[in-house]
Amino acid sequence: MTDIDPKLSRLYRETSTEGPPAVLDAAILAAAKKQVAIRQGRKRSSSIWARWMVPASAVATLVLGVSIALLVEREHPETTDDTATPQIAPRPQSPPPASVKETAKAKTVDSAARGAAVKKEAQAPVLRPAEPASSAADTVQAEGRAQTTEPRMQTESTAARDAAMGGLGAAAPAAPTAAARPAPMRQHATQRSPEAWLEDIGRLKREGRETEAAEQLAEFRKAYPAYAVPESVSK
Amino acid sequence: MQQDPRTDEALMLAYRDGDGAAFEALYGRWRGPLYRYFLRQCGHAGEADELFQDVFMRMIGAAANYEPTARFSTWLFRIAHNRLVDHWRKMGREPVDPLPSDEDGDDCGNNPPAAEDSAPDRQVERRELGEALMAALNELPDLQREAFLLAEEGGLTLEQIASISGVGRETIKSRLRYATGKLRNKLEPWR
Repeated sequence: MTDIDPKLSRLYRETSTEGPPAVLDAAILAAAKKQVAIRQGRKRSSSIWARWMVPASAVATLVLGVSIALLVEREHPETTDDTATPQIAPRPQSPPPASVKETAKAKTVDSAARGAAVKKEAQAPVLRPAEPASSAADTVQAEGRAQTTEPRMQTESTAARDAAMGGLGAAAPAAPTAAARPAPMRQHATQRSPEAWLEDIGRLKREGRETEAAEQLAEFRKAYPAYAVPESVSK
Repeated sequence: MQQDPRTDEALMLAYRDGDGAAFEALYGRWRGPLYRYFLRQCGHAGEADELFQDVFMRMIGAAANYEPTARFSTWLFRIAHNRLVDHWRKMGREPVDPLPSDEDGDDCGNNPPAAEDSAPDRQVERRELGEALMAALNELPDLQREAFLLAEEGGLTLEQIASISGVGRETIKSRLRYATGKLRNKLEPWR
């Protein structure tokens, strides 16, 4: 300790007894209590947040994830259906000449139509007649045809997209319109290969259904203007 | 009222963690010593009140980050010392260390002892002795008086006082020796 004489120290302590006024005591003690209350309030609010932070974050993540998944499915339905994803096959022939703008537009429309076609295949394969060509080839050919029959395809693709979304309850008002069309005609336009189509036309001719055969041939030429139609069919 | 058995540091930690009663106990222990420290150094109750309140407010504000790295009394009187130095600076008062030129302290090694505790019938004389001590204390140079007060009111060791004052242990020892010698000299007539 220090070298202060104990007697002097004792005399000092006996004499020195002053203290702060009571007003100061009250003010300081009140400030101390107030500070405790403030700190406890902060601690309580932070502990409430800490308790709910983990579940709240989990719920937010879940909601966000589900929302994104639904959004992606609506935007690109074909990417979510792995079993029905068609394989891209080489084009059997070059598409008819079209402007760049038209091509881009048709591709946009076609991707939706392709998705719808794939969905339809997956959902109701019995509606489709037996065909020699693969669905992938059909899809690619349909893409080519879409460039020439743009307005009709647009309507069809809308119907197809709505049909694809039908499972989510977004039943399309356009669906009945699409359903009202004769099914074989739609199949000619969207699904069959040129060879199969020509074969059908030949069959119609052989059966004596000349008018139908002529209509189909005209439609075929519209869709494939560069395709060499065999004489047996074109006669 | 029963004394809280906890140490100062434990009380301060308890207050930091939200125990308001711990602060009351701590305040009860240190209100007198700290107040007298300021009262002796300022010589004016108004200034002492202001400084005293300011130090406790600082202590309350710093409680959230309090860690017992030193004795509580050292921590408290360090705040008080710094506040007093600020106050002196604001008042244009510069405490000087008179040790090199101070001749009065030379006889401190051969001092007469302080007055003996007297019989009950000498209470008046005892009170007068106390008043003489306070007057003598008041006449001490600031730094010697501070060393004396930190030792008496704070119960601090030479090392702790040196740490608070920012000087060496030997310097504090000298200041205390000179201060004690002067006080004894002043009390000589009451022997």
